[in-house]
Amino acid sequence: MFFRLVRKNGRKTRRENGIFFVSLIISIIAFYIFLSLENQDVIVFLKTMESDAVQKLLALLPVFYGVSLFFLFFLVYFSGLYQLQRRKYEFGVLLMLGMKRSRLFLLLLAEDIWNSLASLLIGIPIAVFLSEMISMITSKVVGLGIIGHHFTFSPGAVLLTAAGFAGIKLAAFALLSGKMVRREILYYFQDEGEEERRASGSLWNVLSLAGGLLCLGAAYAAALSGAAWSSLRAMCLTVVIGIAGMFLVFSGLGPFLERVWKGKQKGLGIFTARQLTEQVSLHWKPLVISSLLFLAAFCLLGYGTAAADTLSDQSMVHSADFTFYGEKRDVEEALKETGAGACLEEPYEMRCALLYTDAIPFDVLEEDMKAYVHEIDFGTLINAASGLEDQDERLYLESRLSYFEEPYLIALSGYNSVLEAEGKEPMHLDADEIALYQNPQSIPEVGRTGMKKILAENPTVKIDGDDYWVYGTVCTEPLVADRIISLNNSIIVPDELYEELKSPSESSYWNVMLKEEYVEEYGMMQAVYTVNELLQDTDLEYESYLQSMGRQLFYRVASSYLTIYLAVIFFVIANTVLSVQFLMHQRRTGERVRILTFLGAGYDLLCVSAEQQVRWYFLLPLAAAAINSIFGLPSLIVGMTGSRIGSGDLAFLISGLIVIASVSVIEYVYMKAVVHLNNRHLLSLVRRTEERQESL
Amino acid sequence: MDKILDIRSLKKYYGRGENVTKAVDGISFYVLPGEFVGIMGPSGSGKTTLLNCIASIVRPTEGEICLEGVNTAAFNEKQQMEYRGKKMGYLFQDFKLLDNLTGRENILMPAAIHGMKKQESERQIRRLAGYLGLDRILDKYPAQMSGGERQRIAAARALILNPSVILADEPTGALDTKNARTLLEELKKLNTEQKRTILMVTHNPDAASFCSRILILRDGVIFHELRRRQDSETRQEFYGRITDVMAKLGGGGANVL
Ligand SMILES: Nc1ncnc2c1ncn2[C@@H]1O[C@H](COP(=O)(O)OP(=O)(O)OP(=O)(O)O)[C@@H](O)[C@H]1O
Ligand SMILES: [Mg+2]
Repeated sequence: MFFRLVRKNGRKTRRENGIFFVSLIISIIAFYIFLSLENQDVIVFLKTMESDAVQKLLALLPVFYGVSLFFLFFLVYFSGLYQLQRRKYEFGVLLMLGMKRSRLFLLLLAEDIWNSLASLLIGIPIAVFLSEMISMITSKVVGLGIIGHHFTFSPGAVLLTAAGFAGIKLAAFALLSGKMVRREILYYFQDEGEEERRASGSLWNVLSLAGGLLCLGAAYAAALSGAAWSSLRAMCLTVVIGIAGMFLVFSGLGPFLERVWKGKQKGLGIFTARQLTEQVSLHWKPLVISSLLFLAAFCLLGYGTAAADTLSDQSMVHSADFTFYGEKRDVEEALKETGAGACLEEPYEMRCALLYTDAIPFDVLEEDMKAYVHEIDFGTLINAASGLEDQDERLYLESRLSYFEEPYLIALSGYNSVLEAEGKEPMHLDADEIALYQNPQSIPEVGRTGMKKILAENPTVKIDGDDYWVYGTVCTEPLVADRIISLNNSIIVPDELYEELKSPSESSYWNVMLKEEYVEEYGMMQAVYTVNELLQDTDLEYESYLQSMGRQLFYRVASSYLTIYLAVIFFVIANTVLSVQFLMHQRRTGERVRILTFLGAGYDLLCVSAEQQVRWYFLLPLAAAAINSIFGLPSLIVGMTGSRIGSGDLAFLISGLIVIASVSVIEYVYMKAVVHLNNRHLLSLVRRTEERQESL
Repeated sequence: MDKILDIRSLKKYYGRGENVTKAVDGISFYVLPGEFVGIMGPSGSGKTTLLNCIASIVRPTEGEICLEGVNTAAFNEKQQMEYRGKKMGYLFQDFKLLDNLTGRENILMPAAIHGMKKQESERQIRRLAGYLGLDRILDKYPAQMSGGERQRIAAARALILNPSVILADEPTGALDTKNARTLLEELKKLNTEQKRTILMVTHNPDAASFCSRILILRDGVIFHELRRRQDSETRQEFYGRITDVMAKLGGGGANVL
């Protein structure tokens, strides 16, 4: 009997409070995915490459776990509070019928456990499935290939998820039911009291609104100008001023909104306006908090999706899977001995050497090195740069070109092998021609456009008194497997010239590609992994493409995971706080609805009013957050990367659109759910007189 | 004269089976236009239930309620909503004003709900404000008004749509003697000057003496009816008769006062 009641009530609660139940499931899913991060293909892969950094990240997980549990507690507490409020009457009846308080307590506890179990049972399988999907998609997107994928199920993550939930559920339950059970029976039958009205439109409101806007403006200015990023103190100050501004604005907002909303006089227009104003003026704190949570979620989502978006930038086109350092003989021997050679194509050589010039301090060079010193003059190039009209381009290139005065030399044959490995046409240089080489990642937009203008003028460079034409485009292909240490500010010269100019400090790299068939069969990750294993015991020095990619990948994956995870949690919580606040207010003011029905307002009319209230109540903090994020997001990017985002930045635009679309969908669903729940409440009010009479 | 309200064997039972409460157990009467009918009776005798049935807040178990020849007991929900407020003005003992609206907005609420033109409702509110002396309180919130002022606002709200019948459930119950007297005089004025039909539940013989006819209920049926003799009887004399009857109701008069 007891358990049947528990099961029946549990089912009823879940059905009637769909949004809270779904919110709970979403957070369970987020939790599991987050906690099973270790098993994601990308992370597994990164662990073999960047184990230190991955270990650091994994060590951070418990902190995030704790923080998100803390936030989730509010979700559970608020939705619990609402559910208990809603069922107050029912409990009253049970107590009146002679149920002991301890038994009611047990009943509630059992119901709670039952519902938590249900949400875990639904949530975990979805979470496992999603986490597998994410794992496969990310590895596909970053180009790892999905052949190496294994199904993983992480019992540890399940246990942690379940334990965390049980913990906060019980804590929230203890708090809530402790309060409920101790009440007098009478309490269960009373409607919650009406609320105090605040005098509207007072001077104080004007002042706080104006003050709030000033604070916000100051915070925006500080964030956008970059001043906020100068030190931790400045940052904290900006954040505090911004938050204070939000609180001030919302605390004074009510009466102004009333003026806006009151414009619509049709139907229950005034009533709707007053309900809303009351909500805003009485409960502005939860509004601010959820607006701030929304803002945080927006920024995190924007940042996270932008980071996730750049994952696919990892183009598969590269010139070397492995780069070995050393003599050709040693390399070939080692490859043959270990059998790694079977998986690899023929190695090709990349040679480069520093060009000794006068710019190098004399005493560094030993006497016999002086023979290698050459004269190089970028005069015409620098002059061309000084002639540029655009100031940004001019300033940038004038300073930049001076770096070329002690350049690295790159042999054309090596560079052409690189192009060949990438499947591109080789480059032809005449005997009196050289090309500039720059690391693509280090050139900003102004450098690119400015350089193009200069090179269009067919400038020359003087080497040892002879003029050499500069090739029409700047070369940017990565030279070795490790992308980070790509050479910068170098010149590519024909091989004869190279031999003539090179200093004795020549280094040669042996680039090797994996055999295509091999990669296709095992997947990139697996293939690199095998070769790594084979080469483990040799003392060959080498870098792999994936290793260097892994380093960048790691930061992107880690940041997109963390940010999206936190954003989801913040979203769910902000929405729950809003929903509960709204629904509780509606319950507290149920008497008003009953009066309206006495005056002849039908269910339809009441629903229209309620829907308007829901819409505005949700849109207000959302709009505030959106406006804030218009300022917040760019400043975040300014602060994080130190550069201004171009408006045409496609990744940023796309991720922005994705964020907007998903936020709209989530909010629409939440609003619909709240409207639905509230309509049931309205219907019960409209029919209440009758139904209560019949049921008693 | 045509009956404005005709109630035929009206019954309202609460609950089922053993513990059924026969709140109204077969009541028939009719009201002529311009009548001021009082309804008295001991506590629990079914007065509020009767009024609620007429206002269609409660659906009767049996019987007919004909307002201007239309049976409202058979209305569906939509028709009921249309009917509430528009054909019926209801004055509650506890006023039932919306605490988050000003006096003016409270009065305008039925007009807004029933889609009255704005000019028309403005005109009505000016008329009512003059009539009920509301000018000073129109822009106050209920919490800032006295009980009497609240009931006057409630009265204006009940009147704004020009309903055929005004129902009042102990409208003076929460008012002191002076305010109660003022309200009753206003109701009386409405009745005589504007020929409004009023049904008023009251425990108070003094309030009842303002009526032209009094129905006395007991245990859900009409137990007695008193009529004020046209012109020949003063209010004081009528009051005397009422207290006599109440006393005869077996001490009931004493504990309902
Ligand atoms: N919603 C209800 N459910 C069940 N019984 C009810 C309900 N409302 C009233 N009753 C019963 O119906 C009977 C008549 O109640 P009603 O409120 O009409 O009395 P009344 O004459 O207005 O009394 P009072 O003078 O105290 O206001 C009472 O016995 C009451 O207990
Ligand atoms: Mg009553």
